[in-house]
Amino acid sequence: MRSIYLSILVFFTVCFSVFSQNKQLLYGFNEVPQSLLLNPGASTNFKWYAGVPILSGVSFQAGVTGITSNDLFAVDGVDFNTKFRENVIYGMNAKDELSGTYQIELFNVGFRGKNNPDNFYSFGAYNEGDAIGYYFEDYALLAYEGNTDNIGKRFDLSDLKTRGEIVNVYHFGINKKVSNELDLGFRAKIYSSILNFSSTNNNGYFITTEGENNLLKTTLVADLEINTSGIIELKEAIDNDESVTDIITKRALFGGDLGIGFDLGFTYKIDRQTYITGSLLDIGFISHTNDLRTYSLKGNASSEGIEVVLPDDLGSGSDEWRELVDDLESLVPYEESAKKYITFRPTKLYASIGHDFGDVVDSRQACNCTTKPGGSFADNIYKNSVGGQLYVINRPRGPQAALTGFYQHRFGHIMSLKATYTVDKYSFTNLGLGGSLQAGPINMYLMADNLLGYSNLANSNYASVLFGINIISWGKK
Amino acid sequence: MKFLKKIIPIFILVLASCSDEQDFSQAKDLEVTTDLSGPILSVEVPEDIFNSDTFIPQEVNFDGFQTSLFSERVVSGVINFEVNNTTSKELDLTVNFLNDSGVIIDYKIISIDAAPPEQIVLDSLVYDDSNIEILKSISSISVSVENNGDTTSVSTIDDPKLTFQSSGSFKLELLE
Repeated sequence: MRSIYLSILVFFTVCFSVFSQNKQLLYGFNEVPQSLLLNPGASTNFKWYAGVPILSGVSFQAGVTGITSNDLFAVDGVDFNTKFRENVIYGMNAKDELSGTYQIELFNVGFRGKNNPDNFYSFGAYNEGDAIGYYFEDYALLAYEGNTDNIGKRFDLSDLKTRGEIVNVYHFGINKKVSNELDLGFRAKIYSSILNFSSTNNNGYFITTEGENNLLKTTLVADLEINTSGIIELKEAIDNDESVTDIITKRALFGGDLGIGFDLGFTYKIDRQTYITGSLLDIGFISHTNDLRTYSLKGNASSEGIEVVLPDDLGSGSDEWRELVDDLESLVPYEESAKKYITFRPTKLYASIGHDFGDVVDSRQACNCTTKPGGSFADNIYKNSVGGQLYVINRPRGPQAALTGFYQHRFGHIMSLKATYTVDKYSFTNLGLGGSLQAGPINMYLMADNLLGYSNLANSNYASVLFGINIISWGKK
Repeated sequence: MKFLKKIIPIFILVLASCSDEQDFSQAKDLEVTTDLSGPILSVEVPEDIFNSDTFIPQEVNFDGFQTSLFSERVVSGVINFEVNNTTSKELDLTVNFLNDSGVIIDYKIISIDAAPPEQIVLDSLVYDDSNIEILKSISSISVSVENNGDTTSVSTIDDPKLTFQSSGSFKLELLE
């Protein structure tokens, strides 16, 4: 039990956060090829690019709301139990969450169509892990306080909401310049799940009230289910000191649970210097059919203890305790089964409006030629961009949104910097900074947000970092 | 390039995070003792039983206090009783707690006057460090009633009967 609590604590506090996989710095940062993964309809001017395997796109994000590491683990002389009681038990609520994600690109390649230079194709694969758990407020309160001083309180069992997975994603995208004003993009995805757990539709309650035939009556109404896939086999291999490499490799290469999905995106230039963009990512699902284990507790039961009514029960000779337990177990059975299930990917929406200004940076394209009438004025790149972005992600407790204001400055073709200010329900002080450095064909980028949090990471609710290295060609001028 | 030479170190400095000192070993100090309550046993005896000589002490098996989930964590507790008498008899109710061998290891005697008016008696047994092992050893509960009144009268209250109700509140150490 102690290890469980410690695990929870570590999960709560060491995992600083990502609130929601928002990559507001990378979105619209068209100097970096990976921006195509956030908007397949982004404006591109590469001839081709190739990401350095494993290093082309690495990102980590983690976060927690309602508490920070400092709240619990600061060396402040305050008794830990006091801090736990005030900050966790009475400081957090069911809307608080802890979440984390990572993404590592395995490979990523893009190239412009030979016959039709308006088309840009990209494909690759990345490994992604994502988990979110909401604070199970009423479960924690029941465990911490008990029900003695909570007679009549309904402990809400729907507070258990969690989801997590590790998945390999294989993708192929096409980006098409439809006109001087419009770029459209589409990316098809195949998901190869390595493991998954999901428990997001729980309902029920536990309540203790004054009884009718006894002093107290306890009532349990439960509709709880936890679905897992890919975990039991890994656990058994670890327990038996066997290698899990083969299992993971097989699942990562289409040998596990499979799913399909797609991304959509566009860029529309309102005039030479003003544009709007939008994208919908991960519209898809995974069908879980392998290495399944479902845990469920479903039913309704009320008990006022053992009831003896004479003369009917006089000297019945039965085992009243066993009967009571059996009755409760039959009314609210706990079951383990192997049930196939489907999980929908956490769909994300990005949108932005931006305005370019300042001097025009010379194009790096081989030529500014295009098959479209009117020339390629719309591909002009300016030194400065300013604008706003919207981000929404579908989460178990409903959509979460974030608003970002950004400013981007380009130092010729060598370097580009983007600064962001993001507001969401967790923070009003999220400043981010990202940079892309072009050294010949080598492109390197590094981005981090919630920079103020880095002044004292232990007091921060979240942090995120992404970086990568690519080789880019714009062709010979 | 001069600008780059200035901006890159600043960027690195910004990312070089600082952090207050943290002591994660404090988590070992966490103690959680919860206070749980629930019903135990209720017995209902109509008055006509006391007007005959057939009443036998009623014993029920109760293994709840011996389950490991409870016995390994309980540190203290109280068992509450409420006896309600609407019969015309003055009664002595005895609650015996027995171990696996059928030996009485604790008991409570509750005397209650005859009705009318309706008689209610509240009582309890407290368990703490000094006697918690008794609680953990309880395997069955016996309830018996001695009629100290007559065997012919009938109460003027509707549906006359003796009811015995009980519940328990226990402190359980989830983390120590």
